[in-house]
Amino acid sequence: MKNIFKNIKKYKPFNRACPVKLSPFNGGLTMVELLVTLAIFAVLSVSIINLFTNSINAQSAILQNQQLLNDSGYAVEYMHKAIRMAYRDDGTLSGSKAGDCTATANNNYNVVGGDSIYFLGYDNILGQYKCLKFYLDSTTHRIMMQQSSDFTYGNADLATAIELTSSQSKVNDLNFSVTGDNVGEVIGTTQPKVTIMLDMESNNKRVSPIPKIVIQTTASQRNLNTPYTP
Amino acid sequence: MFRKIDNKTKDHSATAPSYGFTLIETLVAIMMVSIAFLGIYSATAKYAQQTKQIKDIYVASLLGQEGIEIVRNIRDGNWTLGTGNWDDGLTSCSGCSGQTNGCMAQYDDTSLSAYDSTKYLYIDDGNSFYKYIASPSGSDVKTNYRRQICIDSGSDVLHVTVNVFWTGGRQTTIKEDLYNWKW
Repeated sequence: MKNIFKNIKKYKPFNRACPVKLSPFNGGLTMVELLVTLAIFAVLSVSIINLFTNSINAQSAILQNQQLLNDSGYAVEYMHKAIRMAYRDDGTLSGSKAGDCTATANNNYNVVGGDSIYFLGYDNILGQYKCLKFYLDSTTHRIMMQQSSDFTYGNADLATAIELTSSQSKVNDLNFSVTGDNVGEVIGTTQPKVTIMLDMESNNKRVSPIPKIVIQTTASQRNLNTPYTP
Repeated sequence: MFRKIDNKTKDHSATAPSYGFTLIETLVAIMMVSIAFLGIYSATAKYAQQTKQIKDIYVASLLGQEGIEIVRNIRDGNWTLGTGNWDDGLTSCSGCSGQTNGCMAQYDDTSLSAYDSTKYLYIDDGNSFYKYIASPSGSDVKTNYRRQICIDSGSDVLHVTVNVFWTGGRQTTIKEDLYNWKW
């Protein structure tokens, strides 16, 4: 028993002698060696870090470009489809008056201020036409859509606006232009067509240059203005 | 019991010298890491380039769609006017080969003109539409896009092909058949 206590005391860690002995020939690194190593390491790590940050920035730019494509594509396709299916505002829809939506009787479209358009657009779910408005909100820089309530066609009672583009993108410019004969039901008129121009950039300023896209397309109205007489 | 520990402790004498990495080893390791990063970097660079191409192709395809719509609009106009033939103004754009023959038109045109491969689309500064500008001012931006509209006639059908050309010989082609058919 006495022995045990003796041994415990003997092998307490702080009583133990260090078993490692430094060799007298192990001189460590000289100052020059150390400096050279540090210099090489510094140069290499700087370039690696550069590569790494560049990759991350490039990746970020790719994601922003994709977001921009998604946003602009969705908005332009949505508007294109709605615009080409427009109905002439001639008061022939049950309960409508001519010019309810486009302000001028028998007009197909009404472009106001270049960046907003009114027309009778088709609501697939309802199976009815409604007064539709696309416009650029100049404070939020987003494209908005408004439509009249079910079975109404007036441009005065449009419902709450819905965003067509996300908050990730900033719409710098939206332009509509109508060419051809906007007014229908007159013998000797051509079909109207609407050109949509969209200038957008990413809202995220992290990458330079800021991803940007300017797209334009045209929709020729599908409902014919006047019946064809051979 | 304690004897055993004692023995173990004694055996654990680290007299064998533990070497660090040599400079060569370190350099090789750093080189390998660099090569790995270079690989990742070049892949990212390629994706970035492809993303830009996708954007160009998208712009071109919408411009191509515009070309089709311009032709369709002329045909529909011929119907609603009801005075001439359904394909008036659309029969002189055939025989496209490369950059020759065919027609061109901008967004607000109601007729086609002969294709000129030296005419590029500009983004007009005033209202930002893609259009042809004969004498551009400093604020009009020249794009790399050219649009050629080709129409081959069949019996009661027009085969419309719109080629949009841009930098580096790239090209997007949109095709549509328009018929002499209406409701």
